Amino acid sequence: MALAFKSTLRGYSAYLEKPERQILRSLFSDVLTLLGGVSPADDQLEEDKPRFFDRFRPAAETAHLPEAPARQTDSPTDEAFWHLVDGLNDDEVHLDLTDPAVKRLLPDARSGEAAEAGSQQFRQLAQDDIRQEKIADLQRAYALLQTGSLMLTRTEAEAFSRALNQVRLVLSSRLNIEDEHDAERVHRVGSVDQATDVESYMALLYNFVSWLQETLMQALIGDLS
Amino acid sequence: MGMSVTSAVDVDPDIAVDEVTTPAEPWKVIVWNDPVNLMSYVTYVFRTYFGFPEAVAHRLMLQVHHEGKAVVAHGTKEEAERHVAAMHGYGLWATYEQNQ
Repeated sequence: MALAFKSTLRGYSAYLEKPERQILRSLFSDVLTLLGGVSPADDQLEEDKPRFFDRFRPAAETAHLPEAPARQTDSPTDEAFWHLVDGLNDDEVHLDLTDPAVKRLLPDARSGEAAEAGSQQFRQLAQDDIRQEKIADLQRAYALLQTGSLMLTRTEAEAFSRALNQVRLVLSSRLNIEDEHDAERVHRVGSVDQATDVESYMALLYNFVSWLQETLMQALIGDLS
Repeated sequence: MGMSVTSAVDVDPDIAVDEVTTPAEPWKVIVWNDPVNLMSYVTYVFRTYFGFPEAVAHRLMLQVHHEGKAVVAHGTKEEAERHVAAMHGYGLWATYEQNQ
C-alpha cells in the first residue's frame, strides 16, 4: 500500500512498498533504455515499514498497486509489454525516433514555417542535452527508491516528478492515449486488485503513477505561495 | 537581449539602424495541449520555470487545456530554443516559431 506525498518540515514524504518500488524502478529502467541510458547498479531494496505517524493516514491518501496478470507469451502485445517491464540492458546508445514513445519524449521542436528543417536543426543542437537531463532525472528517481519511506528535498522531488512524468508519457503512448476520451477510458479502469490482461494492468500502472505524481504536485504547489 | 543597443555605440550608424529595425522579439514559444500532462504539473512548471504569478500560470494552463495551445514566451531565436529545450526536459509538448 502506497502513501501519498505530503509536505513536511523535513521534506516531501511518501511511502512505497517494495513491490511498488520494484515496478517503478522497472518503468524508470524502461524509459532509460528508450533514451539510451542505463539504470544505476541494482542495490537490494530495503524492506521497511511506514513511519509511525504515517500508519494512521486516511484511506484517501493511500493506493494499492495491482498485481500483475499471469505472464503469457503467445501474443505480440504481451511480449512487447514484458519487454518494457523487464527493461533490456542494452549498452549501445540507440534512439529509435520511429517509436512513438521516444518521439513523445523528444518531440519536434518547431512549428510554423520550415518546421521540419527547423526541428531537425534543433535535434542536432539540443537533443543530446535534453536526453542527458532526462536520463539524469530517471537515474536519480531510480536511486531515491532505495527505501520505502521517501523523504525528498525540493530538488529531488522535482526530479522525481519529471521522471514520473516521463513514465506516464511512455505508458500513455503504449496505451494509445491521444485525446481526453482515451484518457478517460484509461482512467475508468478501476482499482481492481487483479488485472486480467496486459492492457488493463498497464492502465492500472498508469493510474497509479498518475496518482503518485498528482499527490507530489499538490505537495510542491502547496509550498510555493 | 539588449545586445544590439549596447553594441550600436561602437558600430557604424548605418548598421545600427538596420539592427534596430528588426523586430525585438521575432520568435514565440507555444505549449500544446496533450491528455497526459497533469494540470497541476503544467501549472507548476509555468510558475517555477517562467516565474509566472499563480494567476497567470493558471490562466495559461487553462488556455492550453481548452484552446489546445498557448503562447508562453516571446524572444530571440536563442531564447526560444532555450525555453523549448527546457519544456522538453519537463516533458511538455512545446514548439517555437517565427512571429509573422
